[in-house]
Amino acid sequence: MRDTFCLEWDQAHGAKLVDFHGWRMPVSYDKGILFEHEATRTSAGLFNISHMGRVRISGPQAYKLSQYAFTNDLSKITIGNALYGFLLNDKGGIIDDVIIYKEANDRFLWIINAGGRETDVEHLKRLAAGKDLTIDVLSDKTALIALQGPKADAVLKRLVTDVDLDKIPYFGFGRGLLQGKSAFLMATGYTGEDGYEIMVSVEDAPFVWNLLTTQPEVTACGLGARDSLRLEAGLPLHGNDIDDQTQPYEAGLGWAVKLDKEGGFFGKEALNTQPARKLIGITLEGQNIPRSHYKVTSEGQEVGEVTSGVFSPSLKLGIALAYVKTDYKDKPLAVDIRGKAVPAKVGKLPWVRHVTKSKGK
Amino acid sequence: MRKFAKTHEWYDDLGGGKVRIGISKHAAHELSDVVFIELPDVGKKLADRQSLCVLESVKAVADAYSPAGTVVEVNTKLKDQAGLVNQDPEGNGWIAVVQLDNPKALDDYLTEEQYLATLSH
Repeated sequence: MRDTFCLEWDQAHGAKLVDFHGWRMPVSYDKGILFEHEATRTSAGLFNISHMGRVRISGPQAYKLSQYAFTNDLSKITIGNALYGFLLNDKGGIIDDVIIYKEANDRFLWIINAGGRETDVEHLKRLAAGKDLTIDVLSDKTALIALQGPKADAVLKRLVTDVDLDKIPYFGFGRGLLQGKSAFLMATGYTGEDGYEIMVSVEDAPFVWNLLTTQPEVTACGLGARDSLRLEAGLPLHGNDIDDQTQPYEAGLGWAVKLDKEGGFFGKEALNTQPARKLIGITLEGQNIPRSHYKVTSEGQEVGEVTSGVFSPSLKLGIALAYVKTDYKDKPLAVDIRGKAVPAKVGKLPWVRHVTKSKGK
Repeated sequence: MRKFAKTHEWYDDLGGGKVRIGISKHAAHELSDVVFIELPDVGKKLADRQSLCVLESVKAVADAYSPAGTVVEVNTKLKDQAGLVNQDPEGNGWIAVVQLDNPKALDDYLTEEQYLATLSH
């Protein structure tokens, strides 16, 4: 198993450590998931997400490759902004969901999932063959720390220089100094809150982590809270809700696919825009919590499966993402919990979204 | 004497074949953030090592098991305060009292020392 810069701190703070895609990561610290979740919704949560990958593509054909390997349209954003989209295989399956940050016309930073560190880079290298560009894997040279929640902005403002955070739109980014340490400040996240994802050098990471965890508004959080927060925000998790066997349209993520963009993109021809099943959000009444792999039924017939489920601390009930046969998504649904058909309501996603910053261009 | 099961329950012998049942500190820590407990009804008959109740935490779900017997009391506080299982698993977070079919059933279970030894593997 691999470790991030944070292992010693985690162990000293009651972290419950688990294997996440080959990384030893905390599920929660001593106060537990509910406390961390609430702290992020009401104040600020800090997450070490250095297990995720970071790749910089630069050079004369960096744009061409990034555009061709990615389903969203990079021609629509200016320098200093970012886009969410997918890396597809030749079957249209989602190798990974990623965010690309446009640093310059010939330089793009890709933030990828932990599980994609090898597969994404291999895929990009294959597509890059013969092109004039450089693929620089930054994953081991840098650390990634997310500061999320309504007070994240105020905390960061107090600590940064050489950058105006108010000029960074949602899905925008800038460079600044975090008490003298060079930091890449991205106004993105995975919680449904305002906040930043902060990339620093791996050498500076312990200093920055200590600096942020000692701010009075800030609570360190593990992957458990990260999961309940992202699910409330209706955000998919690669490996659970989407994977290389699923396509964007069935996952309800067609908005991040631009079929008509110039030059197309890899995997486009295999995409099905009229899928036989759809990823939907469901809620259960009472003391019932849907879990991954539970079956979804309609009048006794199996019509789908839960891919992520959790107790929602904000809604105080069980919520889930589930694939359901398209013909049944408006019919009465239930989730099979230990042999009992518990009625399910289709919910409008996201359940929780508190982002107040607006997007740039 | 308090006995433990490999499945992480503790059993306190209350005398007369009655046992109080809860989950171990280790189990409560592993589950973390218990939010709902599907408590059994008083009078429910349980086959040996059948599920006594289902504990739902934010991230996971687990069963607590009992030797064969009849549920004679449940900790109704858990209906509104499932978190007691995390705060005080081996005390106020007890789950139920069961009248055992076989009063000697606890003989087959582990001492605390034996139980704790199973956790270090």
